[in-house]
Amino acid sequence: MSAAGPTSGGARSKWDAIVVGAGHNGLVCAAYLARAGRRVLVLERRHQVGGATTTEEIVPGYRFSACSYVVSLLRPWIIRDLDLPRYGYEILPLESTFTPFPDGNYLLRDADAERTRREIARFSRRDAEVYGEFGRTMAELGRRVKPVIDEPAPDPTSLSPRELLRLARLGRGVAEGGGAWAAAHVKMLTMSAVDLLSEWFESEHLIAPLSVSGIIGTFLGVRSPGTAYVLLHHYMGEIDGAFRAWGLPRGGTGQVAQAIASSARALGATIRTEAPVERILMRGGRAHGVVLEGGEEIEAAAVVSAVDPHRTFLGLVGEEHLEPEFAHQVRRFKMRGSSGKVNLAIDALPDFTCLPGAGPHLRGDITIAPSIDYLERAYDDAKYGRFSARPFMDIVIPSLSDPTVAPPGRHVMSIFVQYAPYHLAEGPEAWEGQREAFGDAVVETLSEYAPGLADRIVGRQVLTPWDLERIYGLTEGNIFHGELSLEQLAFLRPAAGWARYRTPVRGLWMGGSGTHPGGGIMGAPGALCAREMLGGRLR
Amino acid sequence: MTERLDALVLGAGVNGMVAALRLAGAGRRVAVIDRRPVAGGLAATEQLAGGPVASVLDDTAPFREWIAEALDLPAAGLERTEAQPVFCPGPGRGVVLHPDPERAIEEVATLSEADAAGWRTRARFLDKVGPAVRRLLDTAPPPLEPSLADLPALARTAWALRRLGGPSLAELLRVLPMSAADWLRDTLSSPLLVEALAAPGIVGGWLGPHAAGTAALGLFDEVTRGRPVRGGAPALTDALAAACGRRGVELRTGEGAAAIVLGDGRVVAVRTTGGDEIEARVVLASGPPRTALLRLLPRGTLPLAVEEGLRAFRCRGTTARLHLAVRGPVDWSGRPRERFARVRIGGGHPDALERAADSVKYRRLPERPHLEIRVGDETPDGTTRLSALVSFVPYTLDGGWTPGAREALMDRCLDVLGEHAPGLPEAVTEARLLAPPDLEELHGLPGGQIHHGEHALDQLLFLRPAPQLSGYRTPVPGLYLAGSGSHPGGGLGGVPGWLGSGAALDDARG
Repeated sequence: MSAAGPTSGGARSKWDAIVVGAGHNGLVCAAYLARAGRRVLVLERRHQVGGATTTEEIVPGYRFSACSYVVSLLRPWIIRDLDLPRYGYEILPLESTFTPFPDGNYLLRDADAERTRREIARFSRRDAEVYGEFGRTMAELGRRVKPVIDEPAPDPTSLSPRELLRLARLGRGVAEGGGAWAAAHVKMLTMSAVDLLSEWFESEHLIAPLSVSGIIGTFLGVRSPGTAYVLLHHYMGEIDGAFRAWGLPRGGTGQVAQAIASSARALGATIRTEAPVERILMRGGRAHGVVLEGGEEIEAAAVVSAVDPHRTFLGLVGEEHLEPEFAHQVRRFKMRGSSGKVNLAIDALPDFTCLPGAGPHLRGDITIAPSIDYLERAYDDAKYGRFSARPFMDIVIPSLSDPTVAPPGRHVMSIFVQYAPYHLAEGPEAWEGQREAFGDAVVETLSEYAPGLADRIVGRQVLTPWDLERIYGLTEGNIFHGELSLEQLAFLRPAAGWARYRTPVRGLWMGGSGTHPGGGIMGAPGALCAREMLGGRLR
Repeated sequence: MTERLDALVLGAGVNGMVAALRLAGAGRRVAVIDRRPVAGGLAATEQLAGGPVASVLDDTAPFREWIAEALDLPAAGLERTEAQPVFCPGPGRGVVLHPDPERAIEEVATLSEADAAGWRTRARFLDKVGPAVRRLLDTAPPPLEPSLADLPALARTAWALRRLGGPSLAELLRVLPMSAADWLRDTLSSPLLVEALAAPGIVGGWLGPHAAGTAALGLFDEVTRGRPVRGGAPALTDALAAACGRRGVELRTGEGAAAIVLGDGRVVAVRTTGGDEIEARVVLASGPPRTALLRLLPRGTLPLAVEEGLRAFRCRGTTARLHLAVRGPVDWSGRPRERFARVRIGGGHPDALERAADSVKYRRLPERPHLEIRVGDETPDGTTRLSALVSFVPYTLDGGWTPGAREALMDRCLDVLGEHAPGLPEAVTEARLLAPPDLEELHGLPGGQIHHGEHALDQLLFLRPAPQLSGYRTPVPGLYLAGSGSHPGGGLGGVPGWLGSGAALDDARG
């Protein structure tokens, strides 16, 4: 670990590495470094660890997964390596997806293939017949590209034999069994979710709810090219090896961060909260540590930034320490948050007109995605700088699976809302005046499907992208530390030539979602960063 | 045509004639048939107010100079002329996109000094990647399962890309999947300029400037533009037809293909709409792939997977064609008394272009259609002819293409024109509007799609028109594709015709 200094060389500074930001990636990185015997200090600006992986008691007695709310992609090897179940990591599976339609009908898909087939057949027999094959095809396509998310991204512009070999190996895996598979992959990368789904299905009642997996967290519409790939990403999720399984962490997503933090501490890492880093200490063109707000200087052989690329380079490092070309690359790295979150504390469950009562449909995922035009209109609003008057929503009621998060008989409802563009036509500050209107639009839209919801709300938290930026430090409220569009992935994340967790600033590393393989509670960026720092091995 | 032909080309458009000429040049006996009474396809010459206009496409700048040379077209009268500036009306004096790099920068500097610098950066990038991208577009797409014989060509393309060097190659790979608006805004800030540069790549397609992948379409358009043909599309068509005459290629117009006749599973003849049967060793279809493969072939000829792939090839028309004859010259309010042969009218902002594109999604007319206009010289009798591609007009319109809908579209086009050329709507003496269904009818374009299939990243290269059909060959021995539905796509470049006939020649040589 040349860059982070030898373990024994502590004469100059107490720390081998400082990690800026105790989000799940920062914590994973710290845990791996500590596990390899490095002396690691994690510094967190907020009063608790987790970053956007957080559980917060906004309304007394109700604990919200305030930002991120489901888990699927957290790498199984990380869970194993860090022994997370021992520290309280437990996932409760989400078993169904329920989509109400304004015409009084609904679609309920769950783990029972036969039941789901019958459900879909109510809309189209043909679609019901191919649904299973579609899932298998997507899983197979996902399986072929999946190795990419557990490795640093191969660089197609490099001429080194090692890189060419990695590319060739990836290419062979992708094209295994014939060129048709390779073609399917290229199409997947370049087409829209709706175009892809329309090749398989005829019923919009199925296409619309399926298509939304292609837009979550992006500034794209379901008809935008590139969204088919995001859709595929969602078929890569796994829990205990079961593909396409999503789940709720017991105790909220904050519990995931707590588990990683506990593991990191047990491995020897030190974590300080309420320790906001003001800037990175630069000397002779090299990062030597950090300066906290208030002036405290902490030296370290290496600094890892787990915050987003904008904040890291334009904020903590400062443009004066960067080559102009690199600064330009960072500035044009698109952040543009597009989603918000509304968390409701409710004293009774919502009652959907199309499927009344508190049936199992409420225990899974509830999706408001009634038609392609509806979703596209929601996107149009965002394109022109407005929040969606009628947004796409992805809803879970974690208290049904995990009663610890709400008082007995009461519930929390976690609503992911898209689109809420950071850049409103009037500017991002205008969110201050539009926050409640945005929350109202969400409740009103939902009430069209579940009348009386408003009367059951005892507390409400509305998080706009503006709030995500101010509270959680996510630049422009982007939940993935940078848009997950093709031109910002793999060897281009966050900039060409700097996708290997190293940065042009010697001694500074990047280990957050702004690096490959990107956002979501995956942990891979933090772990892969640690691996690179440790010379390619995690031990 | 009693003797068996070596090759019969279906469709006498630019690609069809290029294909026929290449085959004739290799000593083959070739004929071309076309259902329309005139040759030229979308570039055919039509009459308006007693003068010529190009039926649908009139941009000859993409017609490859190397194809013209290889087919000896200069000897058939093809000449090139200097590229014309494009006037983009907008706030104030609008902006003129000059083909000359230095004048372009001067002009852009009147909008913004920063944009002039940005323009330089962009121009440098285009110069740098141009040759490699052209190589990619002007050669057959890399096959999905390359054989040994494909390796030299693949290696040359790979080498052309590698030679760019790491940073330029990385930048190229970054740009391709971007949206046109995002890419342009990396270097330019003037909304008028961003809109004007984003438009050419997306005209004819279904995507707005904010859609991912449109940067690639714009880049492809930009690096393949050469000098236009003197005399425009009519002159190009005439030169191709004249060359056919010189090479002994029979052009039979007024008679299209009704069916492709198979014998022992391979092509043996084509039955024409006139009831003739023309025998030929090979048939090249330069029209839309769907027509050739789903309508002309006997049912059940194609493997199911190929048929499915073809049905998935998106062919939704989004373009209308407007021809106007007006009294006197056209005076643009930003630049009175200046004459422009090319005028591009949008809303002055990429969002305006995006809004126009939105209308297609909801099957309604655009409030402000985007117009790509060619303005003819004023004739001695004082008539000026304008022909426009009207973008983002849906083939499928809610309420249908009634006379009222056509009238509404015409009104909106004239409103947009009148905004920038006051008095123009009142000076119109003759007007003709072809809605997407009219283009379908007139030119046999499924969906009214002028590129024979939408341009989008997932419908280019080895995915065009379907993975199994991307090498110009079809599952039917003797039947080839040689039109805009194949790589590198629509427009008057002539490349699909060249590469399609090349595939046929390669196979004949074994």
